[in-house]
Amino acid sequence: MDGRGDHRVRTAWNPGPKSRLLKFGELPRRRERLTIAMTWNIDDIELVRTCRAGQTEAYGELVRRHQARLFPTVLRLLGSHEDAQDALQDAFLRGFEKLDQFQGDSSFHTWIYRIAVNMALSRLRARRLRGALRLWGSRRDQTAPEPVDESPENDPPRVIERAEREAKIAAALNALGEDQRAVIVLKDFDGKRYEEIGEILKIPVGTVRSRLHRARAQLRIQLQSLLDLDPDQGTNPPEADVRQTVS
Amino acid sequence: MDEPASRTNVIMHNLMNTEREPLLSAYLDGQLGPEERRRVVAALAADPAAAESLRALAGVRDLVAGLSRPAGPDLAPAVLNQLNRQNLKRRGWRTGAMIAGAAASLLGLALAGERLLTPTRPNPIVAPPPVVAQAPDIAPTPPVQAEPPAPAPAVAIAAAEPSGGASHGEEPSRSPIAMLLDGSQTPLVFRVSDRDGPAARERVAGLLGLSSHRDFHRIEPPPAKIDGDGEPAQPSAADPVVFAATLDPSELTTFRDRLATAFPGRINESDADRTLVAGLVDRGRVSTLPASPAGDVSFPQTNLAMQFPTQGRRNWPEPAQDADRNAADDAKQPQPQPAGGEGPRSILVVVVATAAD
Repeated sequence: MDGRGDHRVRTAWNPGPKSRLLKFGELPRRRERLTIAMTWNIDDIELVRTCRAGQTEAYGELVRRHQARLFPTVLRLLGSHEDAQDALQDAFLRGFEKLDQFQGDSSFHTWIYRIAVNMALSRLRARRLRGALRLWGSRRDQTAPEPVDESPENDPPRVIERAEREAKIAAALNALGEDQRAVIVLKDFDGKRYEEIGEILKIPVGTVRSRLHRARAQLRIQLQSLLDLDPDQGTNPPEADVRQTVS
Repeated sequence: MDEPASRTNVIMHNLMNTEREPLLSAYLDGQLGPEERRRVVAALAADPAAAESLRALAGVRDLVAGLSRPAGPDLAPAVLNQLNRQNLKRRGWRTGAMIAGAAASLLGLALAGERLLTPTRPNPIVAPPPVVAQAPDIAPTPPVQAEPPAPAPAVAIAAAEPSGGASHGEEPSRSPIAMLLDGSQTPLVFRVSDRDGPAARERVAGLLGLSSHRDFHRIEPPPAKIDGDGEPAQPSAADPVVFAATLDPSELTTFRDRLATAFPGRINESDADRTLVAGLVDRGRVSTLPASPAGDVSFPQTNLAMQFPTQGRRNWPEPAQDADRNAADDAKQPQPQPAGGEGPRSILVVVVATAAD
């Protein structure tokens, strides 16, 4: 789903005591029909128009459509659920303030994605600055980022193993500088192209390339144990080869 | 093979690796032109280490791509709630503005009507009385204060320029913020471990004000959150606060001593990290605070026997030897500089909340 249509049937944009989800086969009440008609298959551009016309509730529908795809990106940038939730909420509020600037040249998702990434990075920089200030001048300022726990596990259950593995990757991501982290999250986690990343972060493509390589090189060192454990990692072919095969 | 040639080969090999690695990463993403791609393919065929590097980089890519994607909570109710609150607030302002506008219009109409009904009254606007700052007659006149009034609190936000010691008759000096960024000298950082909350910050501000004859700045790091009204959240007591000042060498000595006395065992002094300074100045909220030096003391220019204190002071200036200078000449002389005297130094005082240090 790219945000062009919604397959849920909700009786109101703003879920409250009067809103409900229809059961299978249930017919909506007379008053509910209008709202459903407006929400059902209505595209993002139309919802933006409705918001601009003064119906704030339509923005709730936009939030619902896009939050699930944005949240993981913001989470990987910030490394904390609470921060990601706050940052994404701020991003949606900022998006509403700037709704007049949305021209419709790109999709609403692309537009709000940029806002969310930049809000998350802004928050990340602020957090790092505060953290650095706390350590400034103290003897503890030479401490390296927390090392990744590499203690061997004795045949843990699969769920725990996956959680630990994910925690290691997340910790290694968190140990990256914000510039490198932004580039690798946008490229390897979200699959953006270099040109898109450069546009979102306002940096040249060459800088994207070098930052991405530095990030991967650092992660390679931090995650060596995981790479050694799983010989299947890295067997996916380069994108160029994939494209050649497809064409 | 002779040794220099071998060393050259090693250097060339490392250089090739250094250049090759970013190419491998871009190759992985399909971001190479035909020529670069050919080079990488050739390197992969010839060098097993290159193939291993590519495999590792691809492994990293797959690990990051395979991270879970939790959906997160439904933010729509909270977002709509805040938007409604902001709308209500704006509507309130708009209503207030409309009421004020209507009241002003009514008042204007009433005044105009009154003037139309009284045609022969002389125009009071022809010769306006001079504006005189005077206390109202109702209250008894207060006695003349011998002491200067208390300094105003923070006087300006963000773009404010300090007076820069202009009140002391000097040439306008650069602001501490400008000096922090000019790159000619590394700012000095005093880290104060704060266990007293706001009182410690006020104390540091007081000490700086006493020690400096220039205005100084308080910088709050950028807020990480936005509050319920869509405004940046107010800083909490746990957030570090930074003061930026420019001190003459003698002032720096005095300030260092005062700080050490006020916060014994809780001061660390070091050179500042320029990147951090730039980030702080660029993104922090800056307010200007006025200097409030303890007092300007003038000594009579006679053969005055003076004993200068030596305890607890460093770089105290030597007393002037020439007692025959008159006051006018003395005023033209530069201020006595301490031994090894340099120009003014920019400093940062970081007050950091710590439970125990």
